[in-house]
Amino acid sequence: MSEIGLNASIYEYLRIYADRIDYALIKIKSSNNQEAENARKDLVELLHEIGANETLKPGVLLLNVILQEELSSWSSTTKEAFQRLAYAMERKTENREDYKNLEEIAAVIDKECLSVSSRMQR
Amino acid sequence: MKDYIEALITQTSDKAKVLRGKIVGPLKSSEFTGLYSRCERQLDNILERLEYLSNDPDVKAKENNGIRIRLLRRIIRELSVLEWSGIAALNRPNDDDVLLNKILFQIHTEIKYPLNPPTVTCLSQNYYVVHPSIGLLQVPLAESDSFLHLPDLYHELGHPILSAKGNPKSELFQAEFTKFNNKIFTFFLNRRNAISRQTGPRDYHKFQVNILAQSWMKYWSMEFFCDLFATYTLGPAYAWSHWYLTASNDADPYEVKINQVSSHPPDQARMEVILMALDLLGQKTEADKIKKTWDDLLQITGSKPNELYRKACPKDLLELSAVHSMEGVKAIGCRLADDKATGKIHELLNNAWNVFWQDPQKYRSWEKVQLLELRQGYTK
Repeated sequence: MSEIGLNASIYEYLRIYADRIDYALIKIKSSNNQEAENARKDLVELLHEIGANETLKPGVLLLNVILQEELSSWSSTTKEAFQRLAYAMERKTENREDYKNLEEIAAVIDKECLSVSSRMQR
Repeated sequence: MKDYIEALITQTSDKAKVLRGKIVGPLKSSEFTGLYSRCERQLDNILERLEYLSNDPDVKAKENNGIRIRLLRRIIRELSVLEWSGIAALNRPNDDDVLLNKILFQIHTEIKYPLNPPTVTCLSQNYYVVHPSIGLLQVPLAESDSFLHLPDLYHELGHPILSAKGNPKSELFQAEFTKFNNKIFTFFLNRRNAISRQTGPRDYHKFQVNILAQSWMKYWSMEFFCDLFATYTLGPAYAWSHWYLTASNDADPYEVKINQVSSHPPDQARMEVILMALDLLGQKTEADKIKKTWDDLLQITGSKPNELYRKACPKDLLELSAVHSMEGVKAIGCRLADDKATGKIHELLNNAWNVFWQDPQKYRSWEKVQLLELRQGYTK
């Protein structure tokens, strides 16, 4: 397969995760209704998936590789940080720093989407 | 800034509607109905998301401007890809597309492919490109007039199995793929830890290991798995097709890039896993013949392994890929290309390579006759 094709496959994985985090962030930050509750549940599920020690989902594994590299400056390991974030969101005890971290995760995935998509252009 | 975002949303929405109008109806043949539905669905989804960005009070709140533009840019990129892939295919279908779609359908039946086959279009300007989200496979214009590259169709069929989401028909193959990736992760982690204990230029070696680990986990493992899927379901013809592609391309088959993540593993490593797979299939005689011709090619082109090659492509990892992929192919119920395998396209593509090697000069006349018969057979 050509490089474009490989990147098209990877882009699709990343785009879905990027959208899930962005939509969830908007809903959780802005509303306090059932929609926000559902968005929170979805985000918690995703954070648990990324923070799990083992996964059988190729997309999650790919995301892990990217985030570990890009977030290497974080003080704890990426997996620990994701587990911590997931618990904070689940218990609704998240603080401003947690939101900053979530924004950073969303920005990293978006940056990777951009980089993958620029390799798809002819 | 707000006005600019609003205008961009409107323009993107208009473009989505224009693209919908570019789909020519009635469809050229029933092979395009799947692609048509998937493109329509994707356009609907894009329009819905644009409407959300345009009207939802939460997303329009000033503090969400950053997220809003991020979401919008991704939609614009998605629409642009849809324009030059699925919509272009539906706008300019031709008889060659129809032939390749019939061939691919036949392959999917012969190998017991667990998913719907993608739709093929001959509009690629960049060799083979598969778009799993809309089920489209782009191949170059002349692919319908030759058999020697067509084994690559089997490789492309591997990609949708790896990217399908929430589909039990592909999960077991994905599980083997992820098990293999976890082993790659551990392998490079151990190597990084070993470097930490060494004396000498650790940072450079760690950088090198990071690049290799990312190349493997982002791209190479996927390519190896699809090469193996093709070998396990088609057999020797896929190995020959890889030989042919490498012979006609001027890249060094041992080359490993370590200054940046690279998309494709070295051709030598790909041939090594393909030969391992043929061995596992019980096709040892064919594997030996291919290896000898491959070694001849390396000798003629003066290709030699460099110091980095085996570091980047350790035999253990290559062997693991062959084993996990075979388990995956068996687990999803695909037919293996052992010596009992049959099927019209299976036999045609493997036979094409036998005829080619018997007399490369006369091959083209044989191929033309076969192509004509194939076309006539499908139009009956």
